[in-house]
Amino acid sequence: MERRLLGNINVGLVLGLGQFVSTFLIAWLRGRYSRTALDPLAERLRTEIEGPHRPSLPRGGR
Amino acid sequence: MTGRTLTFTLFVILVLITLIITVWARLNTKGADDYYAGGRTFSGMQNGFALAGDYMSAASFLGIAGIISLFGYDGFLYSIGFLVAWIPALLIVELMRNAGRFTMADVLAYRTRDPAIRTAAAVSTVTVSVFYLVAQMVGAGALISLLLGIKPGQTFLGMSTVTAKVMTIITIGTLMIAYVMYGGMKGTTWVQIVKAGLLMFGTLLMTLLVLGHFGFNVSSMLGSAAHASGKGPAFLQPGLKYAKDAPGDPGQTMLNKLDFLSLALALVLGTAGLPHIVTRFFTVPDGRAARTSVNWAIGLVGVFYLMTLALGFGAAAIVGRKAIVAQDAAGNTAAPQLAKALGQDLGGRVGGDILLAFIGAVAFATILAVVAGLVLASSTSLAHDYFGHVLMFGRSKEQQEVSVARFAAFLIGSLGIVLAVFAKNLNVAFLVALAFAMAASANLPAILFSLFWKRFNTAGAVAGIYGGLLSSVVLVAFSPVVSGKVDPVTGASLSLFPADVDFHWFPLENPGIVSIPFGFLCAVTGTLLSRRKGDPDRYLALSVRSLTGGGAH
Repeated sequence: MERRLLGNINVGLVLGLGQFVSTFLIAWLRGRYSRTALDPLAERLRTEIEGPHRPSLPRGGR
Repeated sequence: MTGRTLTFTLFVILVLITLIITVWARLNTKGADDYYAGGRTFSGMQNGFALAGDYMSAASFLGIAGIISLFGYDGFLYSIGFLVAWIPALLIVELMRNAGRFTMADVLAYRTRDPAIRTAAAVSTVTVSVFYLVAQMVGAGALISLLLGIKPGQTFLGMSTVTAKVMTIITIGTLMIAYVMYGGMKGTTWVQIVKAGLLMFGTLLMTLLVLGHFGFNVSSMLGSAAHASGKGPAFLQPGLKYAKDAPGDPGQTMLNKLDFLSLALALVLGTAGLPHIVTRFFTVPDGRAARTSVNWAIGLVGVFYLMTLALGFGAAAIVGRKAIVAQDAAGNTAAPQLAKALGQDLGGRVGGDILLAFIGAVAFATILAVVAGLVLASSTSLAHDYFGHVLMFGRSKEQQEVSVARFAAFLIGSLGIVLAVFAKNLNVAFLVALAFAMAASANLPAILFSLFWKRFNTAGAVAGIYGGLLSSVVLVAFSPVVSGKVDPVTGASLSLFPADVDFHWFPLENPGIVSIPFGFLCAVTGTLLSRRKGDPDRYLALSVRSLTGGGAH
């Protein structure tokens, strides 16, 4: 942790910052996976159940 | 104009802006959807700002900057924990949004429709929120006095320090009741958005000024901070505050490390179960918007906590430990003091006063917004879950429920004020960690098992919620934060009770590492012991609804 990498920036700080990077990365990957893999599946299932002509939900409606 | 007058004027302007928002929201609030969920018309980005606004309390703005300025790297660990905590929230937000309507209990009670779950959820929601609320309000009382520069022995508008503290608590309490009673979710959400914007802007401004002070050289900022702290390179490494080595006492060293792990667990697992965060999932049109809002929140919260590094280390380097501790031993004024110093760099005494007043106003807005969010979450749960579904068997009229919610906001707000006034001189900072531990131990097991475990039933949900809640409270009551922790040098009490009272037997300050597994265990045992199995059809219905959004409110 105390090994210096660049000036006063040590391994501990880089690991801490790495947590930020990994959190952003996980959020982004999860978003991409949901959009490309899950959303189409969910949409298909929903159409199957409710029929293709379900009334679109008005914004703010129930 | 003196600096204090300027700060006070900014406070008043801020209050006026938020009251205008509240009046506007009152005129635009018609039914339960508007009052509880802001009409579900907020965009993902707006709700993301509001989520961040609900989450970034004064404890995280002033508190973390203070801890970093005094303890260096270990304060930064808080920043990391508070950010990483959003990953569990991200994983359940869409499912929760699709499955629920206004509250966490809507999701938990979907499968069995049992009022017992509603009651348990309302109890847990109110307990978690009120504990968190009292901690925030007591902190606010002390903080505002510090921001206005009222020192013991001085008077402000003819009030002594103690009177000023009580007046602050009452003023903040009255405002938060007004926001929630009249503005409902619409008003509260806009207050959160304004606050989040102000906080991000203020923090960004200070970060740029700090970095500018060191010629945009992070390494030189860290070096100056380490040098000024008097601790040298140790200031930039873990170990000054948490998981400390106790020389010659391996048992204590082990306990210190466990305690730190316990705190981290509660922070990371608690966020997704905090009622004021969960209620906010329902203010957007659909599950996808809810996901977008959590992504925005992660971005904002992440950037904010990164900037706490500049605030904390900047304060350590520019203001210095001695000046910080002289104002407030816990370091809560490190950020305002830094603002003053940075302002003086730019524009002399006037510059210092202006930047200090601005950062003070940002902190004030932060306090107001967070307490309002807490009151809203608990009054929503009392009215919708307890009154609507337990007392009225789900047959209450919408208008009736909203009236009850407004009244509940008044009751809970008043309770918060009374408790905070009584506790104003106590060290209640531990209540925040306790609220996170309770949310993780009581709410998270019930949420996860409801969504993902087919056999889960009423007995499991009720046992999990009460088990998690009670174990957290009991463990804290018998922990060193309540009694028996004494400063080895001065002999002064570091606990809630005076130094000669000691009834603690639980060695850790944070209950999470025991209470979270215990909450899960209670939920599992309750489920398996109960003869009633969960209805598989309802589980299927919940799965389809939560995964596809079909039939969602």
